[in-house]
Amino acid sequence: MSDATIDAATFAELQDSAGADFVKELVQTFLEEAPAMLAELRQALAAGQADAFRRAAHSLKSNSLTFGALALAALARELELGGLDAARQSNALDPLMAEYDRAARALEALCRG
Amino acid sequence: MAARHPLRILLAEDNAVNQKLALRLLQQMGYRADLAANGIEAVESVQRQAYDVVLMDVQMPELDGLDATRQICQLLPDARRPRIVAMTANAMQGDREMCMAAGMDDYLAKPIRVDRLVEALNGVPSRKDRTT
Repeated sequence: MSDATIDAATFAELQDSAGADFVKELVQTFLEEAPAMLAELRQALAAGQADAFRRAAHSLKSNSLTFGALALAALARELELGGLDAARQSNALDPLMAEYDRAARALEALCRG
Repeated sequence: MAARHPLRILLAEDNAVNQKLALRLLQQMGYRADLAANGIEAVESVQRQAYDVVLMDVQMPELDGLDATRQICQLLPDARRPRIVAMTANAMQGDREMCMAAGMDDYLAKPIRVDRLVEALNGVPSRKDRTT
């Protein structure tokens, strides 16, 4: 899997199939919703809620794949598969937060450009 | 496509981005869809109203797509049961088999590709073809 923040081919294909203006709206929706998913991950980790943790990781992975945010999707997928145990051992949320910030900035730039 | 092959569609999906994108792709083909935000709503909706197809997210809160499908299969006789198409971002081996075992009829990997969506909808018997 590529480490690109946003995979250009995936993003272009999304614009192609749904329309560039619509994709701008869709990016806005993602940027509005993603912070709640990240908060849910943190809360579920703190509270030991395995199902909620996996579900939040899964949603984040799914949306990341849609936009071609492949590095973010890969990190979210690791959390989804590893669950709470893996996340507790490795401080795994930190790199995820950092990658989300990168992806959010890249998506905003793509929508302006 | 909708004029040639009219369908009553229920979209069962909890995630806002996935909802909007699926509705957009359907709209471009001329389809509208009703929305259910989790498995419980999906089960309620198919009992209240007749649908030709349910596009069913697998990972949903409250009641997931697999359990919702099992309930729908129990509650509705085959003739009244809509076709159920799984939508999932799980790329795991055995995922498709799990959906089929739960009673789903078809499977779409997310992100949804337009050509696969068209294929899945074409596989749904249109209401004109139905005797009921």
